[in-house]
Amino acid sequence: MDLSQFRQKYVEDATELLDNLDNALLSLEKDKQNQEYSEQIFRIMHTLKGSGAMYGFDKIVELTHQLESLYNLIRDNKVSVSDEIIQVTFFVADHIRDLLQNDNVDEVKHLKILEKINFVAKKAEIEKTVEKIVFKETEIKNRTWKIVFKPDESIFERNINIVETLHCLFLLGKCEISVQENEEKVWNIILQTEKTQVDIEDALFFISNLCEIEILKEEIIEIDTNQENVSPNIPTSQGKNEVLKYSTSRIMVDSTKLDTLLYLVSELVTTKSELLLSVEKRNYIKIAEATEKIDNLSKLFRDNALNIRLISLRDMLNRFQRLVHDLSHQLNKQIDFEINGEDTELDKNIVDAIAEPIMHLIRNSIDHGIETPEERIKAGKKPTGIVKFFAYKSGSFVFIQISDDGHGINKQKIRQKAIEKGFLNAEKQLSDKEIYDLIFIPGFSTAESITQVSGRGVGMDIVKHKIQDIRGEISIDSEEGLGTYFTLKLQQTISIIDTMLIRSHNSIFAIPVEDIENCELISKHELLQKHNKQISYQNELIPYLHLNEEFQFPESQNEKLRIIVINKQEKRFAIISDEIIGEYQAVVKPLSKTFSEIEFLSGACILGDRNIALLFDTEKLKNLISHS
Amino acid sequence: MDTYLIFILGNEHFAVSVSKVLEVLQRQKVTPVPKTPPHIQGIINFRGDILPVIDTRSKFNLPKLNSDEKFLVIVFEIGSKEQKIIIAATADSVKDVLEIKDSDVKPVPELGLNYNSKFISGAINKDDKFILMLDIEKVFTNSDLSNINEIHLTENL
Repeated sequence: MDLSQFRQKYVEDATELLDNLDNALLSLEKDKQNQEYSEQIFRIMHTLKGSGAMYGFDKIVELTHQLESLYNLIRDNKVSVSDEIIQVTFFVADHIRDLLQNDNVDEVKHLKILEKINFVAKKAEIEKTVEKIVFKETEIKNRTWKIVFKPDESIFERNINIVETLHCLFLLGKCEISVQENEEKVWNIILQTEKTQVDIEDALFFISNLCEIEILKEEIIEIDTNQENVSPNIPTSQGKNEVLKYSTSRIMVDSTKLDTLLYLVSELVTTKSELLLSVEKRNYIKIAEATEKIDNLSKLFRDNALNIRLISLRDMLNRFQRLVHDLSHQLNKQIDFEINGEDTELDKNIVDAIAEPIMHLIRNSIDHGIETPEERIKAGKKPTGIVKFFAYKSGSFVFIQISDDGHGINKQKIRQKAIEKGFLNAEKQLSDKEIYDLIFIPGFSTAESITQVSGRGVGMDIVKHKIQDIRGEISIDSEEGLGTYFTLKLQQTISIIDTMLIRSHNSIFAIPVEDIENCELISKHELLQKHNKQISYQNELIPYLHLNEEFQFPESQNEKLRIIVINKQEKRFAIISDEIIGEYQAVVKPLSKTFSEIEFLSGACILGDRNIALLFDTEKLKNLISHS
Repeated sequence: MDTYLIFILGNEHFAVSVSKVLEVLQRQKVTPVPKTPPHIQGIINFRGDILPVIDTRSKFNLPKLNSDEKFLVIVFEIGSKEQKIIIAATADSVKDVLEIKDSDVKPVPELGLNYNSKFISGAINKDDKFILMLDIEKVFTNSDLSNINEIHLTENL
């Protein structure tokens, strides 16, 4: 058994617990009297401490022990919850996150935080004028048990949540865990409880047949509760850092989705035997039937597989709650964060990719959008500003809207700035949309003062870039004095897209169907007369890209060529190819980095005949026109 | 003693350790990618992944084959245990699989080779034929390789 595997699991579990902690803290902040929340925080500290000790996270144990004591005082009604306590708990949560990722954390900072907890606890205590800070152990009429715990290797393979089980044990009473000297695989658990042996066995029920467990009654083992350090003797060698760097990504899957998968598997197995039997009997009608069935099944498998990868936005949003809370404090703004559509589902890869851009947009709304309470009152608004997150599904797209009711975008100011920075000719007239699009130019930032929060140079251009990387679009709308809207249009999954296949010489290219506005014919002769590289389309001159010319393919044998009109965010251009093959639902495979400089290709798809089609990124493809 | 795959490129015989060879693909169609440098022949679909194919002739400064001449694609697995890299390269034909003793390998003179001698770790004489021992890891430059590591990370469908 490898201890590092358990450590990795602890890091994952702890990270989840910390997210729960953030939420509990946010709730507690709103409702300080609510015992349920403080109780929850206490339990989280308890679990973090207990299992942290097992894997040698000594510093986490120190911190959580202190906080646990503090929250125990709250539980016992000896201290009441204050903003300071909540703030310090947030600090600790962040610090623990650092500790999980990195062993060499700043010692000074660590000590400072410990000191701070102590200070806050003492202060709160004095305010309540209660007796002593160190919480008194209940009388030692408790029995003390020594449990020797030897987990079997299979316990990890079976994915049994050992931390959860041990948590049950902790709930029974006061508990300490240490690793037996010279023997990593054996843990000694010392438990002080009023409960009986049967209760202990119950707590360990789930793992009892997978581990060797000895429960011994010991008469006089006293746990020194005043000693801060519960320091187990876990050897700290074992290349801790390597363990932590290795991060697995897991998805929580709704079990009904897995049931569907299992059903499909059983169907596949029966159909396969049907097919084999029919082949043996050379019954071609049956063979055709079974083949068709397998064809249908494969589609269902595909849908199911994609479905399993869909996750709701809820977890991501939980993190944003915290961000909004911190930011509004930092900037002295009052903000309500309203969330709608958190159950909307997106492919996990996309959720991972949009988290940062969305965080940036929310930051922007709070920092630049929402005014200070004073300004808001002057403008005749409520002092508390509203930042809204709204997600919904439409067709195969998911739309996410982030809006605020702040002062909106000052078009004149943007224009002015763009002219000053030389992005815009002073004479040029622009539509509202074009003005807002200026914000996405690299190096454009409108904040008058660069605050700590946003405006560090990495701006909206990065946001746009990241959204485009996952084939999404972003747009801005704003009304001065009333607020700003950012709208993201995203694919629900990136892996499969509807494409149109075209051919130029011997190469097959795929174009996302959503980018195509129209297809037309043009004769070679007619094209030769276009010297300005533009064709007329619906009373408009649009530029075109002749693939054979651009890629130095030999001239087409066909007399008539195909025009494919691309419309990407209201900007049109045409692609000229030899032939249109037809629509194709493509599984997109990434091109390796060798081709990272070939920007106009966003991937490749394998066709039914095993040939490969190259997928165009139409936006980047358009850049070839301006360069040539 | 190690086993080597002998392949032919132009007039030369090369040996490469079979431990690095994943598969030899005959009559494999390589899909060209527009606007790529000459030493990249294109891409292939290898077990569901898209792999770049390096044009070995261009790497070794040999003239390109005519479009009707046959070639084959060798898929190599190189790199360390932690970071396996799969990359494909072309060859004119495969000749043989041989067992070669380390003691039979002689150093090669730097002069007289019309390709980069850093690819070659030695040579043996077999039936009056000179076989050059190819250090395949060195054939692919960093820019060829940095690419491929990500294939398996990105492909998790």
